This record gives sequence, C-alpha cells and structure tokens, in this order.
Amino acid sequence: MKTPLSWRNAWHNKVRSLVALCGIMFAILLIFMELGFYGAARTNAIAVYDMLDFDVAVVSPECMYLGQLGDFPRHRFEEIRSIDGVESLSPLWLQVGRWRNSDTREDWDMLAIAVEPSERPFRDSALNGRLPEVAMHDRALSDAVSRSEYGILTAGVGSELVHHRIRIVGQFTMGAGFVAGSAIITSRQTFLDVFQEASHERPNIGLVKIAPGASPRKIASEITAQMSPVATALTRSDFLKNEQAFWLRVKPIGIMFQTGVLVAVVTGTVVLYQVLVAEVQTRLREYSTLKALGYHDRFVYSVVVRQGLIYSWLAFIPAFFLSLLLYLLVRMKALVPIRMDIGRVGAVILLTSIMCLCATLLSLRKLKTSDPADLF
Amino acid sequence: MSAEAATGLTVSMKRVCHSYGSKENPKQVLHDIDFDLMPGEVAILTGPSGSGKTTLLTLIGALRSVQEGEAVVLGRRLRELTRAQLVRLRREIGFIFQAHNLFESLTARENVNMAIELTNCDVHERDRRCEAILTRLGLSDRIGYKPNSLSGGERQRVAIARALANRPKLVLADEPTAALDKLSGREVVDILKTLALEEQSSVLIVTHDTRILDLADRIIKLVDGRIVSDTSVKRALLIATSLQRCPIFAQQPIAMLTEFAAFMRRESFDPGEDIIREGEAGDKFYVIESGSVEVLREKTSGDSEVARTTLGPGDFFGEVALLTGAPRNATVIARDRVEAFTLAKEHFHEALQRSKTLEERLRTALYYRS
Repeated sequence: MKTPLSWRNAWHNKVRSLVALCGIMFAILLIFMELGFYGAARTNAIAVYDMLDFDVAVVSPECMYLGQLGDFPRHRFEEIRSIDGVESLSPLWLQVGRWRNSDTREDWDMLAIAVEPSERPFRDSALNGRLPEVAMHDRALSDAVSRSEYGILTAGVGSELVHHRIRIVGQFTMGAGFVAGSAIITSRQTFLDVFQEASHERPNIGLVKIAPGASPRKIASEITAQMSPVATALTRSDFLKNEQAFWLRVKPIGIMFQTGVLVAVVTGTVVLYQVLVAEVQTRLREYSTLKALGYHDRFVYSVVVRQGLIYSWLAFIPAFFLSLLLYLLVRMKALVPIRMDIGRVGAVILLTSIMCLCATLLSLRKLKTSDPADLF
Repeated sequence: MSAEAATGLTVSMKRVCHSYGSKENPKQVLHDIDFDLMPGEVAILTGPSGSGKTTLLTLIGALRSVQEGEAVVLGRRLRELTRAQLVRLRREIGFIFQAHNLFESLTARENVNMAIELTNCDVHERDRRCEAILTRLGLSDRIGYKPNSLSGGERQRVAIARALANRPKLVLADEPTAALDKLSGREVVDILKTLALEEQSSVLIVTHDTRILDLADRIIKLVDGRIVSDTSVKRALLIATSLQRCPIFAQQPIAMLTEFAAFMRRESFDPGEDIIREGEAGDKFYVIESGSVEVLREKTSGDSEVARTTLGPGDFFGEVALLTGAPRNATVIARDRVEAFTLAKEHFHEALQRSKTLEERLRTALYYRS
C-alpha cells in the first residue's frame, strides 16, 4: 500500500481539520435541507391531485393552479363520455374557505374538496369506501395531518367553514398544501351549501378514467378539441407538472430553495477553499519536495484533490445523518412532507463533488507556485 | 552510447551560463561554468553568498532549465530532456536540503517510503530498504516518530535516509550540516563519504562548514558566478608537500600553498622531450610530480662544457626567468616520463606580490642557485 499522504495531511492538525469538517458539514447539511424543502414543495404542490384517481383532467382554460381553477359546464360531460376510450368521468369541486378553530375562534384557510359520494374519485379505495359518511349534510372528513392552528379535527368535532356548521365524521391523510394548511372532503351538496357562489352545474375539474390500452394524450387532445373553448384536457402527468411548475417557477418558492442550494454550495466551496489553501500555504515546501524527489505535478495536485475529497466525504456522512434527523423534526413539527430519497442523496453527492472540485481547482492555483528550485 | 558511458562522468558541465530576469534586462549569475564530477567523488562547492552556488546545484539537479552550454547529468543531456524526463531524472538524484523538508504528517518510515515508492519495488522490499537505511543512520528506534518528535539531528538523518534510500548515483546536498552540532554534522558527512565509497556515488555539497573540508576530494570555489578554483584535495596535498620540500616555500602557511595548488595545472612530458629551452622567454614555473629531468647549462667559464643537473619528484625549476624577466638560462629535458605541475607566469607573480617574505626567500634561493 502506498503511503496515504493525503489522509495523513488531512488529520495532521486535528483541531483545524475538525473545524474544517464542521464548516463543510454545515454547508452540505444546508444543501440537504434546501433540496429537502424543494422536494417537499414539489410533493406539496400536487398533494391534492396525487390523491385523485384520473388519467386525464378536464379543466377550464382559465385554470392557472389549484387556487385559481376556474370552472366549466357540467352539461357537456356527456360529450366527453361519448369519446372512445373514456371509461368514466367524475366532477370535482375545490375551493378555499375560512375555517374557524373551535377552541381559539381563529379563522384559517381550509381547502374544501367536494365529490359525488357515489363516485370513486380517490386512488385510495379505503377513502372511497368512506365517502358515504359525508353524503349526509354538513358532514366532512378532515386531513389527519393538518396544522395545529386548525384545532382538533377528529371525528365528532364540529366547527364552522365560512360560518357554516360542519361536523367531522372521520379523517384521511393528505398533508398541508400551499393554498391551505388543512383540507376537508365533503359531498357536493354540503360544498354548495357552504360556498353559495359555487354551482352544481359548474365543477372545477372533471376526472376522466380511460379504458385500458387507450392513450391518455390522444384522449386529452380529443377532449380539448371537443370542448374548446369552454374546457381543456390535460394528461395526469401534464396536469401535475403544470401545478408543480406554477409553484416552483412562477411563485418564488422554487427560486428561493434553488438560491438556497446555490448559497450552500458557494459557502461550502469557500470554506473548503480556505481550508485547502491554508494547507497548501503551510505545506508548500513539502509539495516542492515531492516535485524534487521526482513526483510529477499531477501527483502533487492529486494529493490536494484527495485531501479535499476526504474532507468532503467525511463531512458528508454526519451531514447525511443529521439531515435525516432534521427531516424527521420538520415532518413532525411543520408537517412538511420532507423525506430522504436516493435521488436527493445522489444530487447532494454531485453538488458536494462540484463544491470539492471548485475549491481544489482554486487552491491548486497556489500550489502551482511551488518550485523545487526554491528549496535550496 | 549514452553521454555518461561516453564520458564516464556523473556530471559534466561545459560553458554553462545562466541568467535571471527578463530577456531585455537579464542578470547573469553563472558564467562559462566548466565542471566535472567523477563517480565516487565527494566535492564541496563553496563561495560567498550570491556567487551562484545554489543556481549551479539546481541546474545539476534538473530543477531548472539549462539556458546556455551543455550539462550532462547521469548520462543525459539536460537540454534535450522533456519536462517529464527531467522529473524522472530527479528520481535518480538524492537531494538533501538545509531545512530537512520532511513531510510533517508522516513518520520517519513513511517519509523514507515516499522516496522508495518512486521505484518499482514491492512492499516487502520497500520496508526492508527503509528499515535498513534508517537503522544504518542510527534511527532504528525512531522509525515510528513524526518529525516534530525528533531532534534536529535526527530529522536531518531522516532526510538523508530519504535521499539515499534509492542508492542514488548523485547526491546534491545544500548545507547539510548547517543546523547540526559538530558531532551530528560529522556523522552526516561520514555517511555521505561512505556512500560515495561503497556505491561509487558522486556527492556535491554546498557548504560553508570548514569542519568537513577534510572529507572532500575536491573543493570548488565559486565567486560572482565563476569557478575561481577547482582544487583536487589529493593534488593540492601532493603539490603542497612538494613545495614544502623546496626551501623557498618551506615556511609558507598551508593556505598560501593551497592557493598555489589551485592555480597549478598538470602537464605530461615524454622521455627526451624539451620542457624548456635556453634562450626562450620564461612563462611557467614547474614542480615535478613524478619522473626526472636533466638540466643542461653552459658553464660560466665560457668554454663549451655543459653543466648537467638531474632533478626528481618534488624538485622545481623555471623560477629564475620569471623573477628576473631574462630569457631561460638552461634547457630542461625529460629523462623519462614526467608529470609536472605548472604555474603560469601571471599567477606566479601574483603569489609573489602577496608575500614579500616569499619573494625575499626566492631571491635568496636564486642567489645561491646562481
């Protein structure tokens, strides 16, 4: 085995190395958190739609995002159902109203999702099976992972939505979204009672299920052609992508987290650069000695690059485990659906490598000044 | 055939010049350096600060590019080598620095291993060589220590072990004893001397340490980028011994005799060859190293009789014409193969100027000779 010069150099000054590791670990942790929040935002943005069972969504051409859906006439549903490959079509109503916390009497935005209880619009069959519970007037299922500001939302609790008495009869699991911190599922009738301006004839979304083997894109095109200009149709993936794009690109949420990642990478690069350049400065004569002994320049550079990688990788490991802990805390306290996945680990490894590469390349400029002739 | 094989020299430098600064405003630090180093030779390079010693050392060590002249090191013409070849050449040279320049994060063993790993030897051989050299340098119980746990002498010995671990044919040392006490310094130079003897390695040491001069085979003095003297210690000893046998030099201090030796050149003469002829202008002073000569001089009585005198090793001749400025008053012929050291007229006079006592003694000697 060759003498592990980089490893020995990395640990020669233990205090300096630990300080360096802490700095780099903090930067990597920051990357994990920013990417985690970014990922959570992507999940959050489509939390409602992700629950729904559809292949093609029919919406108003004015539809921008969940908070601005628009509506379209229900009487034309038959035209959609008549298109070849369309198996079923369910209407859905969504609107945000003020929910009163029965304990604090404070009002908070609540997303109301209204369905025909006889339909099966959700992917979760258990949830579909509970829809008859909300068929009765003023009954609703509440989101089990609602924020605490909404008060207790368990079965049997009653409160007001837009000054209309609602009784919780059970719970489902979705998670707080961007438009509201909680959600309820009601029947279409309860919804229309609460939101007087809403119309039975004008749902916000039509959920199309297609026959096995049919092309969602083709059917979406046909529906759009048929319904234009009063409605348009999007495949499930396009619909979800549009919603994510709105929150991550149009709204500042995505830009905020992306900037956070950039700042974290720059911070990590600067910290690692400072550590490496101090190392190079201290050991300049040693690096010159390597050249005098007959080591090629690329070996000398690789000693510093390897040292940078050692710091980066050693900082990555605690940063990874710490981020798991912080993800758990954020999930529990803020109800943000932040979870570690292999893609994110890969992304952080990539960004850490870029950070390491930039820092070492910058520090190598100093190393290039080492001249073995100066040793004499 | 390689240049080394052709010359048999470890280092051969011919008319090497070197300048620093820009092309428009160069500052020349080495002027026409002619210098050879034989296998097994220990040479000391000395001279005042700024005389170009370090530049010369870095040129020989392939650490700088040769600008002018020809430099052949370990059989390779440096100007013909690519950058990568120069780097590879350095692996065959042992460098010892004034500041030991050890890797602070590595133990003594690992420091030495860093040099051995440049060769293609397996781990067992590497460890064996490493332990052998460190043990030889008296560091067997310090193998696992890092430099900051070693004394100055021990650090320098580790640095020497690193330089010698690959048994280099050329060792370049810059003030290797400067940071050491007398005893440690002596040990270090003894080791280098032993290496030179055992491995036939050439050792070039830049030093101001007069305590180690006696170990050198040659002493080269550099002043203002020029070699002002390149003295073989053996030769100087021979010349000084010979000169001391002459009445006129007998009481001169050894330093002056050494100066004479530095200026003297070695010349060979075949049997029967005229070394000097009567009536010619005097241009050299001669000291016989080996062989014998016959001095033929007309007798003062005016007849055609010739006085014959035989001179042998340690005898000298040719000084009269140099002192008086008159033509040669005798003919000197080699009786057999003659090796002689010669001193040019200008150096002879320069030496006389420095010592009135010597001049007086020479004149006295001349008086008695005539």
